Amino acid sequence: MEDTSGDTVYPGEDGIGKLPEDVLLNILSLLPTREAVRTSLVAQQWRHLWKWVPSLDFDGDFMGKSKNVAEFIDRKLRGDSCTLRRFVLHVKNGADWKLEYPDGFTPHFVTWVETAMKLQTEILNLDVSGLPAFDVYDEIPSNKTIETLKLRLPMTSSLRFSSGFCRLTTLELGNVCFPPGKLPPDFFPNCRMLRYLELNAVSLCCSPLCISSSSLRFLTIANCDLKENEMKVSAPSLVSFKWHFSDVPKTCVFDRFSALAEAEVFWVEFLTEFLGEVEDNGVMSQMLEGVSAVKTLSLRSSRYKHWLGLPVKYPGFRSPMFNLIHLNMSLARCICEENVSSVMQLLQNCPVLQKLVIEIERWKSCWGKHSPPPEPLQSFTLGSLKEVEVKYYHGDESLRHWVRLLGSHLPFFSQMIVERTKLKR
Amino acid sequence: MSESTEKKMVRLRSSDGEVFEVEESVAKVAKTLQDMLEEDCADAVIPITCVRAPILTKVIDYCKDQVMISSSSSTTNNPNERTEQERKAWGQKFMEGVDSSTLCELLVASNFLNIEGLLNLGVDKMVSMIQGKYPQEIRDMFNVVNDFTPEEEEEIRNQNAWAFERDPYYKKRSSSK
Repeated sequence: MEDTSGDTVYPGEDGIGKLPEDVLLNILSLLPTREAVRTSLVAQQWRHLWKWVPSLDFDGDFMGKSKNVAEFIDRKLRGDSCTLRRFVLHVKNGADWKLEYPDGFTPHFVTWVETAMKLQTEILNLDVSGLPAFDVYDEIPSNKTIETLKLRLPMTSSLRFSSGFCRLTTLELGNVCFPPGKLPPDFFPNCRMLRYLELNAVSLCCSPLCISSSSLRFLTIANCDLKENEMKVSAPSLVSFKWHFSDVPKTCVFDRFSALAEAEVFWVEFLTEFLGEVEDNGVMSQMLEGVSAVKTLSLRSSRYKHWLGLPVKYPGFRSPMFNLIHLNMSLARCICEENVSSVMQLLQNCPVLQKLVIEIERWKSCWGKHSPPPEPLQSFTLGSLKEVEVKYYHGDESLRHWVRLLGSHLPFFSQMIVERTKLKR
Repeated sequence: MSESTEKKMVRLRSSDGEVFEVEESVAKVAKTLQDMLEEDCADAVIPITCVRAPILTKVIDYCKDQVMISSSSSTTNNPNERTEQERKAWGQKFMEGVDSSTLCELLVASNFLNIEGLLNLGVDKMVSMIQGKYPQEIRDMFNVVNDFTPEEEEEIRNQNAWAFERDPYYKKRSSSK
């Protein structure tokens, strides 16, 4: 341990005052703009610093009144020698903005995006989901400096992209609709540095969603309505894949992600529960084949059949998962003996599996009085499995039976946790 | 490992005269030193005029660690996100317990020596220290003397009054203390 006790600072001898100006500006540029402006009152040396800070950052609950913020941004962007590396604006609760700009905010917003694009901005992060809906029909021009682009628009607003974002590493889009042909097919291949991609509630009308990128490592697709779309993903460097959806795409082609470490697939169902069975069109099978090199897999569904009926029906579910170490299945409404055989079938394909977690929500039994308890299946051994965890809610006698049965097939694990938790409502 | 690759040493002198001997690879983490070494100022002691010994010790610690990280990551050819997270945790630990005046000196040193990683660590630490603070608190923390006249202060406040309004969150936080 070095001795720092000799560092007595005498009054007036402030260390921070000795910092070079560009270091100070660097520090101020990472603060919310309101706080950066506030530092003008610290001392003479700081008085004008905020004017040169190359960032705009309005985030959080109290960033100031909409009028002040909008005027400040306007003034900054209009400035002659304005440099802007980072532009963050989050308006999630836009009540104040709606009052101040009753006729909509489109012109302001479009100008801001355009200007920021011209100013060699590196990070542009605008979440204006709290503003009233507007149409952004303007094209976002190609840009050679931007590294992070995050846009979350109000409701579903349309957008066009041209391709050629050659330094883009992170792209997050929310509530965006691309009119047909407005996301050029060569857009993703041309983002040669792209590492993170998140599409949240993005709609493509009827054009196919083609994500082809050799640099992409993290992909999240959530809440996108792709029912009418063809989907094609080819990303050999992909490490993490998250897919939350309610409707399966029309067709689906996944190249095998050979570098995949974790995958999470969450089938959320809204209304179909009441409308009867949704037929799986083979997309799931395709998807599972695509992720078959994964190490950690989470399958979640609000209905059991999506996952557990699959091994029987689709060969994709039967493809071996040679690298799978950790499997997490979160199921709802498990019914009947199919479950056990499905889970067993799945496990048989995972030779190096170490940990299995099964979460069961809203158990509904078809056993008990009406059907006889299932026969034990042919036994097999899972030498690598060390830990099994079964968590269930609202369990009954038949579930306990199911768990016991599962246990009888898995003789070699050292730890089995069965946890019964009442669902908190 | 071959024995013939004898490690070349570099000597650095802090502003208060202490001499540190480090491996060339460690010194080269600092871009400024790398440039100097490539221009071949070999055997002489390199004076680091604006950095005191305790600070230089810390800087050298950082450089040593960077050398260690880069040599170990080349053997495991899987530099994925987890190691980035670990690096982050390591950075936080490195900066733990650094007081405001040491931090300022570290920033000056890493800026002068051009060590981007250390500079970023310092900047992040500084940001976390002054985030959410009002001018008087920043002055107290860094021993800055208020050299404004009351009139000037009034003028600055009026210029951007919206920025100086106390936010409700701040009141809550300070009253809970």
